[in-house]
Amino acid sequence: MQKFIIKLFLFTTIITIAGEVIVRIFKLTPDIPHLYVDHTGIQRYIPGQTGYYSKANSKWEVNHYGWLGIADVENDSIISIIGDSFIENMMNPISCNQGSILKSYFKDFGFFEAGRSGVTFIEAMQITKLLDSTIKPKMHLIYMAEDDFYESDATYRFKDRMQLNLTSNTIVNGELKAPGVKKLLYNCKVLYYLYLRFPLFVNSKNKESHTTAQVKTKEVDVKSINSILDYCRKNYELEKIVLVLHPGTSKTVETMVNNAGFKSITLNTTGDEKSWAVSSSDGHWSCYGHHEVAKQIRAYLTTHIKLNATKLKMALNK
Amino acid sequence: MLFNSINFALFLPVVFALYWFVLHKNLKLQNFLLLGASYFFYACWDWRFLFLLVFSTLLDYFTGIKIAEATQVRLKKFWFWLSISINLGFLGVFKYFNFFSESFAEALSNVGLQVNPWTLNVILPIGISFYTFHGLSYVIDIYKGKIKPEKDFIDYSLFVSFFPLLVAGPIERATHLLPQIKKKRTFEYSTAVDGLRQILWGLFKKIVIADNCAYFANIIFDNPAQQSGSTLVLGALFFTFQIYGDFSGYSDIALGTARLFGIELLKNFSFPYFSRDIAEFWRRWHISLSSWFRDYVYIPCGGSRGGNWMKVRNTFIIFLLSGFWHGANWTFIIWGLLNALYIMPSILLNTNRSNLDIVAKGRLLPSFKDFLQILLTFSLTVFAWIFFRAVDLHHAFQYIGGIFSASLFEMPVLPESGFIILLLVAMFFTVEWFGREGDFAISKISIFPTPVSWSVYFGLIVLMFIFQGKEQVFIYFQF
Repeated sequence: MQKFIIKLFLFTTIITIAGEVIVRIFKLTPDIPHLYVDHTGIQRYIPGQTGYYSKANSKWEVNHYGWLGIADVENDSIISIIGDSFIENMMNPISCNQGSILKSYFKDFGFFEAGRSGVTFIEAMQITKLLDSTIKPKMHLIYMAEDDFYESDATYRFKDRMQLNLTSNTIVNGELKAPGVKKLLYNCKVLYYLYLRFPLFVNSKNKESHTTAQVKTKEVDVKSINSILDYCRKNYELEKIVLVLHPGTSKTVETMVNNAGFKSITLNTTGDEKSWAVSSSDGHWSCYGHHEVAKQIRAYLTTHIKLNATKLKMALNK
Repeated sequence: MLFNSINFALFLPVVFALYWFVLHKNLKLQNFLLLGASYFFYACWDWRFLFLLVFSTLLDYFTGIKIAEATQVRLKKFWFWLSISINLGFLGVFKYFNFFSESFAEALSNVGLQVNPWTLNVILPIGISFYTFHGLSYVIDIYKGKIKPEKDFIDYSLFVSFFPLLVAGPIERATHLLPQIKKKRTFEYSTAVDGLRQILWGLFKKIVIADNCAYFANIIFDNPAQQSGSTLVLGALFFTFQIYGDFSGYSDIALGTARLFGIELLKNFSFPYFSRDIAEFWRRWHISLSSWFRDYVYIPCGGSRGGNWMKVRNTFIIFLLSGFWHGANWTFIIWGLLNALYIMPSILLNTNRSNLDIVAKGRLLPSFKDFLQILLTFSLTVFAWIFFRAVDLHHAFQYIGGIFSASLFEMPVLPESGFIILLLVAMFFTVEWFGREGDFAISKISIFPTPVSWSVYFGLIVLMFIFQGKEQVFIYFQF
């Protein structure tokens, strides 16, 4: 038994080292940048960091503003794109980012992406405020799922997220959560690879739910969402904001956000036989998914506002 | 819990450590641990079906004792048929009810009577076909007086539910597994290393071969109308490699895992794609199921004792049942029928046992005749897999129709990565060919010096890292 254990230990150690080398050489995992919390409580990446997308030769670089992705601030008509990991889009090359695709439809506009994994609805709203005071976008597109509302409610505290205390109507900033596990995963890439490749708790049932993408069946917490929306109405400029709601968002939520003064687009996967998801175990949008989303945004911007790109730009500049 | 998951990678060492380091002095506690671990393993899928598994275990445990205790034949028969009918009843309700209901409604609509089929909205309990067959063989063996009933409930439950074989086999026999469960087990270095080696080979088959082939097979099978005939042939080949890598990979992991606990399970695969005729193929593919049907259906039905008619009838029966066992769909039935037709010439000519040895034993390459026979058997098998993989009969015929078109001689359309996978598959079968005289392809690697064998292990792991496929769930879990 002793011989078995010693040999197994030796084998595992060598294979871990070899695995680490392979994962790094073949870039089998994406590099994840480090964060800081700015003076407004928003979590951003430390500027200047660079790394590779998974299996890609293209590099990402954290821009001056502390986000990945497109930051076209030279244009005088900027549309910001705010959201969580779907917008951050670490799993696809930058050409599949919403900013890149929308830019190909609306060439007269500048797009600015502010996406980070774990952004809640309330943090997205705070980001609009921050951007309004710096780069002054003409429009904000906030991409969000129904869960982002609930994650904004501090009644259910997520320490690493920015949330809203509904009793005191105050924002509770997220704390940088850098537990050993996270650090270990980012630094020991073979472990991160295994974590990504063989996710915990994947079975035939949740495989199904991942592929049919974000369909919510739980009841809407009307009280919680209304309180958050009420806070937004009093504290933010809603007329510039368009909420892009993930597929499966309930009609009730859609009506509530519209009643609160938001404009909204509810993304729709109906009739699309091809999955938008990266894989069966990762519900993030693939390049195909991002293109489909962007098509629906384009349709909304050109038909709902009933303007073509140039006219839209003029309208926004008014 | 999947074999190829982090959960299992954490679960297995914990059970292994408790088994060999904490409870090694007490066989009963070791068995109790394995049973608890098996129930936990099963509950990770859906804890509600654990009740069904326990009920099925209790049923066969008690009816087994009652059959043995019954002094009157009438009573013996009563308990026997009670067990058989409840076991098959569960299988019927969970697996076949909707199929029969829909088929019946369809048959009525063909004669002008429109009825809405009454279907059940239930999901198939994972592994039900496997553990039901465990229980059935146990009860039948007691009824036939081949074995005595097991009195220890824990030992019996472990026989039914031992986690490596619980969800996708091999289908064990009481005569083979129960004595091992009851015997004190000691740790054997070579057995444990062999087990790990087999797990590694199984993981390679699943992650590199099956999961990658699945990707291309799915693309091609999903849109047969848009593919050329040659691409469809490639799709069928990809599925052929996928199902072998997937199921034999699972079996290797199961057998290897069991070896870590000092238990030898029945061999389930023996290089089936190197078979020289269909009869040999079925002695090498899903061996535990084929032998189950042989022992509990074919032979009791008369086997080959009643002349050609009897042989033909019984062969069709077992292949139809085998098809039906795989799923409630006409595609599986046709697949079974096709295999029955394939095997018929050798049954009628009494040549079905002419290839019992290992092909080209002791030689590097097969003879030209062997090669042609392997090629023909393989081609027939690939053709039958089309029905197995198709969603329904229309899909299957559309696929086959697409193959036999003018575009059969065009260059197949496949992304570059598809050809890389085909290269890997070719490499894989080369290793399988050279390892065909062993238990599994790399079972004899230990005869080489450690640096060589370790290099092979590292090579396999490196390939798993680089060529990991997307699929994860094993095909045979659905059966």
